[in-house]
Amino acid sequence: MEPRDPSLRRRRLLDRLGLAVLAGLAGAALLPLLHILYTVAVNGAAAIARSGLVEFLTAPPRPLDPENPGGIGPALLGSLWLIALSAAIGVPLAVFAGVFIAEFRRAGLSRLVLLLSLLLVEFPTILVGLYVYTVYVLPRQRATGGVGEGYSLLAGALALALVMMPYVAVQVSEALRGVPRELREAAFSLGASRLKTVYRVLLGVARRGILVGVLIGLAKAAGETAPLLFTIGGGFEAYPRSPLQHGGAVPLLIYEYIQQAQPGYHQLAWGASLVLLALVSGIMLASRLLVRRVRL
Amino acid sequence: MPSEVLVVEGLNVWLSGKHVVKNVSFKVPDRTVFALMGPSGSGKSTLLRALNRLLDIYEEAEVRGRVLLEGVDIYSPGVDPIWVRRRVGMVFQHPNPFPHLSIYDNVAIGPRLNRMVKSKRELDELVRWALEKAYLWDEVKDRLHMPAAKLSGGQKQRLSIARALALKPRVLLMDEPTANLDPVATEKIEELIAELKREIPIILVTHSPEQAARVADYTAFLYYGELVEVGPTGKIFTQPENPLTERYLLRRI
Repeated sequence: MEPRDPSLRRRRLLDRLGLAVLAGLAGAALLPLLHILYTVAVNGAAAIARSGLVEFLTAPPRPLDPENPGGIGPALLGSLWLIALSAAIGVPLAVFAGVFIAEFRRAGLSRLVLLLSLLLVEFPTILVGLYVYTVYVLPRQRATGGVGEGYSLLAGALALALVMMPYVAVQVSEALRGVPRELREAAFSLGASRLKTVYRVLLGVARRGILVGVLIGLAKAAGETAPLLFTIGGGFEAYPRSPLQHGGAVPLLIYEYIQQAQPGYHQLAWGASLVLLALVSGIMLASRLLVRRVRL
Repeated sequence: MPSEVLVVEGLNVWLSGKHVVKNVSFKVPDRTVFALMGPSGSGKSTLLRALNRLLDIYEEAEVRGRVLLEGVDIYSPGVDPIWVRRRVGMVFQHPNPFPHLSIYDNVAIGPRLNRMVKSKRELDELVRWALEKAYLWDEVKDRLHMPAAKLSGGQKQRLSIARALALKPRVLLMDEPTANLDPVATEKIEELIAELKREIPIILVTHSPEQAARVADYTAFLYYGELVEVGPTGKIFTQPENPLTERYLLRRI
């Protein structure tokens, strides 16, 4: 090539310009996300520092006491109850549904389950909350007779399980379908039944994909607010003594407190936001680290 | 002349309505290697999967005809496909030990699934026997509980063979077992085939006529689902009766 190719300079310039535009656009897309993280981190850390981390995570809130603002203990306990219960209800059912979708395709019902799951993944979560309110909370309210009765953490967990299940089921079925055909054939060729092929071989090979699906489902459930609005009944000051009683949750606390007039509430809401962010990212991070990848 | 362990009579297979194995018949005598050779897409692998009823797991597959395993038609209504698969071992094109299991568990899974052993000691002995048969014992005896995924390609394929042997099958099906191996590993597998046929018949699918010539006692040439010619390997390679066979061996098709 000519050492002084006249077009070379121009092409280099264009190349750099193209790269700069791409980097700029990528940055612009990331900027809001980074700004959210930054805002939550700064405001949240300041709020938590006023009480101290342990106090903030365990104590009940005292939003009107500027000297001793307390924390979000009861709401956090409620959230932990909700995550544990919704996982206990939703994960086994979702795993069964995922196995059914992936491995029993012969049955028409399996296609219906897949279709419903795909539909429900994008279902407005407030409708799920309304549904549980109608079929679970209201009947219990009528049975006990009192207004404000019937709400419970269990009702919220049911709603969260409904939000999480279709997502986890689809993830599980995808993970199972990703298992190479010859591994599936090898299991059958050894005299395994369809069910044994699933639980002795396929679930093991696909364990990483399945666990990631389950954990992301949990993270989704941990951050949801709408399914809790009509189901758990709230209560951020008292610790829930049992899942059959009403209680609070961290996302709901944020929603309620940020609407109050006094700055004490806002600070607690910011601190709670950071806790929620840490909780959800913690679950996500765990899903990346916990399971060693199965090397094929 | 040894007796025939496997007899295929008028076997037809359709996949999603497409006729891929057309009225195929052949006999596999005991303690021989029977090669099914043919170009890719000729239906060899599908035919092989009809011999242990593995095609049953695909709803799009339809099989008609008779496959007699020691005189029992494996497609007759009273026969359980799991019973068939336990007696007909299979080795695949990609070395495919179960990646989430250890070397030991890969061999033990067949006997465990089929409740073949009563004690841990009996299982240990069976695993050792199968690994020795597959020429793998000496290489892995000190690391039986390591994940199978850490073995080399050739070792993985021998582990797959040990896994199949642990069920003490009456016939061994091998679907291009060296297609993904280097020449050294291929040679080892071929030696192993020669050793194993002293006890059980082996049906070997291969796309390489050279491999058929090296290891098989009988060779069948399959072309677009039809069995063009079958006979003793020496005869197929030196005096093919069908011009198609000759053209295939000369690499003209």
